[in-house]
Amino acid sequence: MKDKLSKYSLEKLAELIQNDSKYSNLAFAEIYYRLSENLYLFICKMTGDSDAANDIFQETFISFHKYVIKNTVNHVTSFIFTIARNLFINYKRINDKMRPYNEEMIQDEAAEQIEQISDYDTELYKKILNEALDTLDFKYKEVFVMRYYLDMDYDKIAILTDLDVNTVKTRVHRAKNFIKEHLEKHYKEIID
Amino acid sequence: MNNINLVQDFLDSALPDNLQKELFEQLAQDKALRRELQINMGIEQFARMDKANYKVPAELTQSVFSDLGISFPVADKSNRKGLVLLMALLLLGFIVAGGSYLLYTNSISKSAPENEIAKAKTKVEKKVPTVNSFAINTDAYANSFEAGKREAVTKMQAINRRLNQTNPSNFTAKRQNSQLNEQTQSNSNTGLLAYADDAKRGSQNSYSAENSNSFERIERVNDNISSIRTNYGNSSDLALNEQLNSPLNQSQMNGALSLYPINQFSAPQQTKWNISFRKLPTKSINQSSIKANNAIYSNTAFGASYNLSRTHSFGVEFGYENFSQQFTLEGGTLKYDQNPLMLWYGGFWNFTPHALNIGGIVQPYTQLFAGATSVGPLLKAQAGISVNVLRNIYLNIGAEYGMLIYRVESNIYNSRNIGGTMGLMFSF
Repeated sequence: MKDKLSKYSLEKLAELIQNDSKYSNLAFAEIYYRLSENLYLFICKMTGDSDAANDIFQETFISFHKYVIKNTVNHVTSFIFTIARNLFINYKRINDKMRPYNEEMIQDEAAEQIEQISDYDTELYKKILNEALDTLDFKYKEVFVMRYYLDMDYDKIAILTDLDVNTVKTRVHRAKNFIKEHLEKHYKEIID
Repeated sequence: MNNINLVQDFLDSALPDNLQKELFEQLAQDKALRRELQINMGIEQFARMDKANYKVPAELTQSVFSDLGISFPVADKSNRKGLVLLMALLLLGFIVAGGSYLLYTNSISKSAPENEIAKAKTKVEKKVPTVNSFAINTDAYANSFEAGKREAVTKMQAINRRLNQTNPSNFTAKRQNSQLNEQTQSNSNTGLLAYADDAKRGSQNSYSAENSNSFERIERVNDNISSIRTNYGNSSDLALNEQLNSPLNQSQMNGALSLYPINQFSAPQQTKWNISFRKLPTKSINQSSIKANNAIYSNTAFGASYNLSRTHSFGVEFGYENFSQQFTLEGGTLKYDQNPLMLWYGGFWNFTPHALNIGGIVQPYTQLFAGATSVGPLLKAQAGISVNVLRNIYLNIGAEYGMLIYRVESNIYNSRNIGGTMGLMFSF
C-alpha cells in the first residue's frame, strides 16, 4: 500500500478493516488514534469515574471492531460515539440504582469545598465544575461536553446526537444555566 | 433577543456586529449582565482547561489492542523504507570513518614508547659491549702498555660511537645513551686509566686468575653498564652476561614498561571482547502526557564490543527505550501523543583516551551510536567515566543524548532522550 493510511477518511479505513485483512489492523489503529482522545475525554466527563470510563472506552472500541469487521459503517465518528453513549446509559442505569446521589450529598460536598477556598486554585474550580456537570441530565451533559470539552461545533454535535442544530444550541445553553445555578446555589462565595 | 441570549451568542462567536455593539453598551450599564458574562466565560474557560487532564492511559490502549489481538501501534510505518536506507548509509559512513581513523592511528602508534621499548631489547644486546672480552683478551695488554692503552681507548670510543649512532627518535635508546654517556664520561678518567694501569701491569705479569685487579677495574665499568641495564627492568639480580647476552623476557619487559608514563588501565589492551548491560536515560525532552511503559526491561540496553586497540572498540548494542512522540495528522487538525516502548539496535564506536586515566582505575570515554527502530533511525552520543571495580569488571557512569528520527505523513519528527546512564561492562 503506497498511500498512507493517515490520508484515508475514517469511512475508508473502516472499509479496510472489513475487506483487507493485511491492513485491517493498521486501519483500526489509525481510527483509534484519530478518535481515542476525544472519545476518552467524552466518556470521562460523562461518567466522572475513571474506572468506569476505562471500561466503557475499552468496550466501545472492541464493540466497534467486532461490528466493523462484518458490516459497513457510513459515519464512523457518530457510530463510535453512539456505542459509547449507549454503554454509558447502561452504566448510568446500573450505577444510579446502586449509588443514589441526592441534594444533601451535594450540599455536604459543597461545604467541604468552600472550606478549601483559602487554597484557591484552578484545580478546585475544575473540581467544582465537574461536580456541577454531574448534576446535569444526560441530554444536557452530552452536548455540553461535546461543545466545551471536545470543541465541537453545533453542526457536528447535531450529527453525532441526531438532533437539529437549534435543539443542540438550546441544550448547550440550558446546560450552562444549570451549571451556573448549581454554582450560585452551592458556591456563591467563590463566584462572588 | 434578551441580554442572556446575546451573551451566549457572543461567547459562541455568533453575534453580529450591530448586536455586539448593543451588548457592550448593556454591559457597561448592567452589573448583573457583566456577572452573567463572567460566569459563562469562567465555565467555558475551566472546561477547556480541564480538557488537558484527560489523556488515554497507555495501559488502556494496550489493553484494547491486546483484547483484539492486534499489535500495539506506533508511529506511521508505511513510509519507513527511506528512513531505513538513510540509517543504513549513516551506519556505513560511521563504520568507514571509524575504520579509517583506526588505520591512521595504528600507523602512528608504531613510534609509541611501548613499541620502542620492545625494539630496545634487541638494540641493547647489540649496542652494549661484551666488556668481559677486555679482560679475557689480556694478551693485547700484556704485550704492550701503549698498545693496550690504545686498544682500550679505541674500544671505549667505539662504544660511545655506537651508542651515539642510536636513532634519536628512539626513546629508549636515547635514555640509555644519555645515561651511558654520563657513566662513561665520569669513568673516562678513572676507568680508562684503570684499563691502562691494568694493561701495564698485565704486560709485566702474566695474566692469572689470581690477578684480579684488571677484573676489578673492568667490573667497575661492567657495573656501570649493569646499572644502566637494570634501570630498564627488574633484572638487577641477574648476572651481567646473562643480562647482556640474553633477550629480555616478558617479565623484564613488564618491569621496563612500568618505568614509563604509560597508564595502568590495561584491561582493554589485554582483553579483546566486552559485554555490557546498562540502564538508559528516562527523561524525554519531548514531554508526553502518556505514561511510559515501566516493564522490567524498559530503558535497558545490552551490548557486545571488540577492542581493536587500547583506545578504540566497535560493537553492537540493542535495548528497549521509551520514546515520547508527538505529531499531527490531517493537516495539523489531529494531534497525537504517544510514548511507546521501542526496541532499537545498531552499532557503536567507543573511544577511550587512555592518556587521561586517573589513578589507573578511572577512565573517561566517549561513545557514538547509530542504529534503527521500527519507525526510523536512532542516533546516540554518550560520554562518561569507566571505573575498574574488579579485575575485568568496569562500572560505566555517563550521560547520554539520543535522538529518534521518524516520519509521519510528509513531516519529519524527532524524539529526544537525555540523562544519565549507568551499567556494568565485563571484559575478557
